[in-house]
Amino acid sequence: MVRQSAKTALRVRACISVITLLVLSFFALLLAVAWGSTGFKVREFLEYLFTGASSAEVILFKIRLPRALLSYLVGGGLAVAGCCLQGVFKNPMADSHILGVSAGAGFGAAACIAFGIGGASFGIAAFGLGNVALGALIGGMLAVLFVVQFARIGRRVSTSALLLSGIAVSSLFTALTSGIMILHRESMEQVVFWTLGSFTAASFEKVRFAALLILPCSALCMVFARPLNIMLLGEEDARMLGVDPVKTTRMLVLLTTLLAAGCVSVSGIVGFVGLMLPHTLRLMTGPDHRLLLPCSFLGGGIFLCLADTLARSLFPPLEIPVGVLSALFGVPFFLYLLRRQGKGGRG
Amino acid sequence: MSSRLTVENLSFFYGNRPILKNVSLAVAPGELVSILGHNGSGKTTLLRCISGYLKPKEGAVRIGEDAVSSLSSKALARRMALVPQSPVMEFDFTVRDIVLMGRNPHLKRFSGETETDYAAADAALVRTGMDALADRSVLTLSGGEWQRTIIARAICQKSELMLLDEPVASLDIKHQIEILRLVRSLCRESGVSALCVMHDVNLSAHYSDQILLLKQGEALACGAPGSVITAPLLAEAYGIEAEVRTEQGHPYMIPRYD
Repeated sequence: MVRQSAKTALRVRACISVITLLVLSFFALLLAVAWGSTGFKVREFLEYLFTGASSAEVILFKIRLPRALLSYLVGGGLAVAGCCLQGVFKNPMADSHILGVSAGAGFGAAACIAFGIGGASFGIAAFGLGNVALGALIGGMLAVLFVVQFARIGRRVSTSALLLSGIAVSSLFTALTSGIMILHRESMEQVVFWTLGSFTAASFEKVRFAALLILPCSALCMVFARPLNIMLLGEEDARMLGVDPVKTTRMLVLLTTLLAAGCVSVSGIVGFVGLMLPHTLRLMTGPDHRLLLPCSFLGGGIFLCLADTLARSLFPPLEIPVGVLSALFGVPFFLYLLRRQGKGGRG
Repeated sequence: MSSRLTVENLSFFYGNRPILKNVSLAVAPGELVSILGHNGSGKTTLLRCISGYLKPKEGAVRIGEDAVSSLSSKALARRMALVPQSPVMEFDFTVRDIVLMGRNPHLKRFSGETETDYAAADAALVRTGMDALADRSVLTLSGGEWQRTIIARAICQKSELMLLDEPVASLDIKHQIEILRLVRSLCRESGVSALCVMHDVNLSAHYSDQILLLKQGEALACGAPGSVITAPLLAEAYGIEAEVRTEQGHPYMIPRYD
């Protein structure tokens, strides 16, 4: 009896969380598509969805829909990457930034912006991406390669060495980016805006690329949910429970790098989501990665989609960088949850 | 009788510094074996060489007929469970969640826990007296309860050998007795073999079938408690003066304090 109820309770809780977040996702995407300076009514939008042609078609489809989808995918991808890395390193400060992805991507993007490397043709031919995005993708992955290489002793990558190496390599790439900006002042503004993150340039090509990268990588991360739970017990324990910590760490670092570099390449650097979203959701769902990872994806998507909608519609025609807005709204909420947990609420 | 665990001429070095020298040991099915020795004598290192966490420089470790180094971590975990010295969990899993982690070596990557796994976890919880606390967050447990949770996890793993690294070091005497009785009953009733790093000489003498006494990485003596817990051997191993009596049918050591 006890076991029946324990298992059922877990399932029920998981279903409620996931369904709630799915419904919220739908409304977040609907809001993102429907809300904008070209005002139109939800009814009109639904009419359009079911009957076809409408005057809103162009704005909806060419601009708002890909933008909504892209912000949703990036939010989900960053949250899953952050959640995995926090688990792998048992470090609440971990997210893809500490592996050097952002700094490397920033450098790659800055270099492409400043030097106009390769022209547009190469990048577009490769992935349907601009050359800046491609530069960011390569830069991000290159940075992680450096970080892991410096932190490696034989086959083993130690956590503390990895964190330190990540900080060091990040600093190096940030310095290089600053150097480029000073030497090429004409491109400074563009680089700065890129590093603040934005979905202004969203397109269906970018959505397709992001979906092809982010969805499979996120799904693969979720395959590692149970090993991730066990890794929280520490390396020696995990080994004796049938989880190879070296292999698991390597696989997850690879997957999260792909995820984060993919996200950053289409959106620029969006902070906060990867670090704090998983914490926020952990406070609500508990620490089990089998539930936490899917919820992180959905929650991250909802959060960034809403943040981006606000970012573009608060002070039209001015756009607030989405990273600024996500921090402004997310941090107070996160701090509130943290306080509540400290006072003995559901942790 | 074939032994469940065989350690043959095992040596281990940190750099050039020898930690273990030529240690041999055989553990039979259902046997409870203790490893005793002074701090830094290599007890935990020996356990880690046996678990394959450290690679010995020389010598062999076999579980049944198989070399430990040849097994994948999953295959190894099906045959060997570890109760570590001071396990840490900072996330608020329930007691049952932690115990169920012991089923991981028996599960395929894509499949979830089945009724069999839940039943094994429940049996382990009952065995350790933790069934009433099954749905409590592990962050709220006392030291004794947490230790019993970890032992329940090891039981749930259903492996033939259990390695315990100072399982009673941080517990009060009531819980020390409880835990060691439990381990002994696992050996007697379920045929599990247990290899236990210990600090308390008298507890080891009472509960063990066999004791391995280490001194600076070398096996000073190995055998039944009566042959190992003797005044001259204790003097050599720990550098203390002690009187050894027989209490409750087992050797009992009283050290000279002043």
